[in-house]
Amino acid sequence: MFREEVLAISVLYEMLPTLLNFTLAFGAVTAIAAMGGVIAERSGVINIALEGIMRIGAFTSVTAAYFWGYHFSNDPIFFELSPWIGLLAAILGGALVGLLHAYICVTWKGNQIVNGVAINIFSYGGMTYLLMQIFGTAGHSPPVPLAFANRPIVIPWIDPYSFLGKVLWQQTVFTYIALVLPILLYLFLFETTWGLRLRAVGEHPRAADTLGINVFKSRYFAVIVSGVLAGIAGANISLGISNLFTIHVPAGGGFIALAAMIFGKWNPLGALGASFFFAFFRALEVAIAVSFPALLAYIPRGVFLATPYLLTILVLAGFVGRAVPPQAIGQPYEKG
Amino acid sequence: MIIPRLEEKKIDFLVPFVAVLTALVFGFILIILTGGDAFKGYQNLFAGMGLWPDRAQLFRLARSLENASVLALTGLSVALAFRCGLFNIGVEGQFLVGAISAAYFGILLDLPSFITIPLILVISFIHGGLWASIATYLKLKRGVHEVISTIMLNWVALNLIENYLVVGPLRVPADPGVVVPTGTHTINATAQLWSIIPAIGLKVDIIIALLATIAIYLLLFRTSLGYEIRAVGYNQEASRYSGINVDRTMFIAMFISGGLAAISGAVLVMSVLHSYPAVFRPGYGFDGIAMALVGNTTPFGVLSAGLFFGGVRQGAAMMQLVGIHKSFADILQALAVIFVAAQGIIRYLLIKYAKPITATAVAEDV
Amino acid sequence: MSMVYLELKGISKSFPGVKANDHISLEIEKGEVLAVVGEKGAGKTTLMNILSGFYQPDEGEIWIDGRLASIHSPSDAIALKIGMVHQHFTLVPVFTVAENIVLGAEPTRFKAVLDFKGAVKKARELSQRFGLNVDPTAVVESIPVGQQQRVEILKTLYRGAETLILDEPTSVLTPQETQELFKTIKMLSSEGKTILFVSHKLKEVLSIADRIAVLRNGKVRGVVKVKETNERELAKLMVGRDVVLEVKKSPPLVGEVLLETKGLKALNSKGLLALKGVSLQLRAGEILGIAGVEGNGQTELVEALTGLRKLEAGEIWIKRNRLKKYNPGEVRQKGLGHIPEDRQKRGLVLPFTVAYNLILGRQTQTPFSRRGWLSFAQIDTSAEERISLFDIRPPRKNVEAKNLSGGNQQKVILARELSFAPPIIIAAQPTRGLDVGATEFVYERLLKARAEGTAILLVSLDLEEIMSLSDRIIVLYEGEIRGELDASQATEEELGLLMLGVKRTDEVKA
Repeated sequence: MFREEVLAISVLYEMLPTLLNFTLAFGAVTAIAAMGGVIAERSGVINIALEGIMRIGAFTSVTAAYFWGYHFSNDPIFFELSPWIGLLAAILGGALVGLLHAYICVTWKGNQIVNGVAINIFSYGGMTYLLMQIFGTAGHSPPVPLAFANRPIVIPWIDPYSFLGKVLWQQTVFTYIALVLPILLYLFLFETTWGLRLRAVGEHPRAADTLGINVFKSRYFAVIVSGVLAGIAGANISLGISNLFTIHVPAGGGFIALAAMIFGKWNPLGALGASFFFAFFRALEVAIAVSFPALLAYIPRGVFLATPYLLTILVLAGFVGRAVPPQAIGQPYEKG
Repeated sequence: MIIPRLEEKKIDFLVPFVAVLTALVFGFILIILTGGDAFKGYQNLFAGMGLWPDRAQLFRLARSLENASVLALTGLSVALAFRCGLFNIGVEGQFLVGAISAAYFGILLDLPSFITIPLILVISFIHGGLWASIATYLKLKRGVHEVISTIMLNWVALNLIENYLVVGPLRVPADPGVVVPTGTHTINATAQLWSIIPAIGLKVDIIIALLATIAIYLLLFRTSLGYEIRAVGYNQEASRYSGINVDRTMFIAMFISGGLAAISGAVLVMSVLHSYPAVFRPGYGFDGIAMALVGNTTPFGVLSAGLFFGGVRQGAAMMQLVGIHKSFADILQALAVIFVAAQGIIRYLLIKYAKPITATAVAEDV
Repeated sequence: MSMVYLELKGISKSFPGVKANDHISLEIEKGEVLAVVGEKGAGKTTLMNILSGFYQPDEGEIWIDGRLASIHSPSDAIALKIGMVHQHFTLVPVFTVAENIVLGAEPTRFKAVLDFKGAVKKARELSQRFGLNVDPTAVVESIPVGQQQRVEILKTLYRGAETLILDEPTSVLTPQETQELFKTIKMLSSEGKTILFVSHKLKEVLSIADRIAVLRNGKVRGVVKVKETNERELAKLMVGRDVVLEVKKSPPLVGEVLLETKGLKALNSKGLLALKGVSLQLRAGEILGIAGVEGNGQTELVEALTGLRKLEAGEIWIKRNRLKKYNPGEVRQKGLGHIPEDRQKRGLVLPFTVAYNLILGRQTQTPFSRRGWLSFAQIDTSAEERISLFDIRPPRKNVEAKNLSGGNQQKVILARELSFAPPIIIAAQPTRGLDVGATEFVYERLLKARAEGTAILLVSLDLEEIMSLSDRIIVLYEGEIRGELDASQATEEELGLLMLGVKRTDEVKA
């Protein structure tokens, strides 16, 4: 047994670039969705509907890419556009759901958690229903003719057999979005006036209001952007990692994004780190399951999968650092 | 500035009905928009619930009641925690804990039914309560909001159960060549719930749900513990100031809440599934939130919501006959919750268009 | 004529069931300090919220500098150079002073990039120019209340405010800080700023304002020049009748010591030592007043006595028995009644009926429950009795507490805490926010309890209340007892000095 473990470790080391490759691919989904969580919560609105919006985004993106792709199957230029049309559809779908969440939680001061739950329930039933109505299938859609997964980004000056080359092999546009987006969001939140104002709205909306900052507009903006980002994260799964929609998508990805947001202490860069940290765990689990199933006897798969959530609980509990949410979170703003 | 009590109470009472009705209307429109036959669809929906007299009526009614039991129990779980000011999103996980506990002890115990069944229910209740208590501990001792901790605990429970226990220690060795995981062994016959009317498969689960409803009603509105639970739910500070042990009260409420969720999972295993399957349909816990909200967090309201949506679930199966997928049930349920969440709109409209009533109510009160 | 800077013409504003402002007209000159006084609910805050753009008036016009102004939002008010310092500060606690000052009108580079250095520089310039000393790089939640108020004033000045509205600005300040604030106000008015000073403290108003406008029930009852008026006239205008400011009380019949503390030490919610060894004795039949500026350990003392706060050290003795278990239930059992500071947050369960609120804390005791089951008949009879004894209106046991007026809510609490004749009562701010009638009712009941031999510990920020009700007065300063006085001989000046810890200024870090 001992020899097997040594072998496992040495082979895992060999597999490092592949592990990192997986980590980047999985982590991108979490990171993009987590940014959606960060921006909404920084404005004071809880968005536990990330999961549902991701599902909706995954669905709308596949639907749009599917029909566009088949409609233009003879036109190479338009055909190449089809995953991008899918992405656009995910953005629109996410924005719409974000708008709904904002309308109910901001305008009508509905309970943010309740409405988030409702969107999650709706996404499951609604997408199953639409899947049946549009594609006539249950559980999953037919594959799209062209997905981002079919068009990975190739950087010409990187040797595909080098370490970096292996890490970046087959990565799609989403990976790069996930790497850049948190930096942009960080700069937005902490270096621009809009960011300062948005954070003020999330910390003390009345203070913001007295200074002429429109709390409602700020929150609408943040929640819609949150929806857009969750939608993109959904498209990442259905068009970036696979090429079809499955009803179980994102299978908890929205909740792990929430976990990453908390683990990263509501900071975009922190959440990015947490996303990749969690993804590394998942990649490790897959790698072990594929190459060394025997090792799973020692550390079962379930334990691996539960670890990110356990860690998040520990962080929240202050056993590992301390996470303090924005102060006005979850409270609808009452004027006057 | 006195807001008439009558009017407010009436509106509280009306909101869920309006929410469900609005959901039905929106669902109707959705079917039309997606090219279905909404009239036929709804006819089949209500027939499928077992409300139409036909040959299969009793059978359908039995299925509706079966669904209703699980929904009502998870709904009561959420509602009870709500009453104490706790948002238990962890029903999903507590439900799974109850289900695996029932599966495990249903396989293990081989005693007469009248011992086994209550015993398993009690054991799973305790397991669910203990699992929920982790969130209580985190809230009371470490200041972690229960919404976040229970979301995380759901995934911990799911992964530890479905990706460890069910595929590991409790796995049934599959036939050679079968890759698909199969879930646990079947529970012993003595652990399977009694039937009331075997011909239509009506089992005692609805009785369990009814008893739980009555018990929670009595607890909340007739006992001093229930008084304390509600006082804490309405105003924690004032409760603490008055000498109520807030921590203890929350602990008890959350324990019972987790226990009810677990019983719900146990009932599903003991009545319908007879084993813990490889993968559970997700969402039982979220259904519970829906029931609690649509039922206005009152025990009998939750039971009614459970009966209605239990029926909808069953009825939606018959909508498939006219080409409407059964997931329509989920859509209706989600819409109802959205309208409860957006009850500001409903209240606004009720007040606006029910002005004459309001005026007389004011007159009575002053 | 041309001196009038700000003019309100017939401003009216109604809320469901209340006419908060009823045709209010006022003229304010440039550089003038106009005080707006009135009781709670007189409409002061509503009027100021209209001026600062939070509410739109139903009727009326606002003229500024000879032009008709339309104020639909806080930004409109800012554009019209109106700045408001709210009673409850509107500062973002986790932001720095500079960030708070520039928020909403930030100095930038490339249009959107925040210029932090520029912000700090501007904040520093501003604070120097107006002599409002505060460190621009400090995080707001870490600086004392007096400084936070300066940040609020600087915020308005940064936006070029010409009209400054100060809503109850002294309610959180020490007398010393108040003097500092008054200096600032005088300096600002000499620079030509127009100042609206909202308050209900007549003495203050007389010392700072040029003119005083008195509001009552949403109407202007009179505008008087400070030089031509006095406290009595103002009080009369405010309440519409002569207020008996003197409390009639019988000489004390002091009995045995019922409550004694020895060297109480407790932490505040921030984990700092807030009670530094408090020892006091409370006897039957007396009212012991605890005076002090807010935040000097009063809250912690009350919470320690009522079992809500853990003791770091010290002992509490009730009727010669040392308390062993410190929790609210236990303390209550031993005969201690508590009238909490914030009646809506801590005293009542608002969605519960009056009957239910009247058993709060006794829900597990006979006769209200037996073996865990509530006894509704007993609860109802007892409620009916107490409703009539304490004149709670409307006299119906099934009304939810949230539908009662503030005064009647307080009556419910008094009925609950006093009617079982507990030997000891801790009353924290029992009249805060109540109108004169309700205040008198509370005084009367407390004095009645005192006459019956109850030992009463009265904690109040209102010096007048402390002086007129108490038999003895203890002054808390930074968690220590700074002095004990006989109430009949104490003067406000003397108390003030003690409350300030003699000569230490507000530079002490919180």
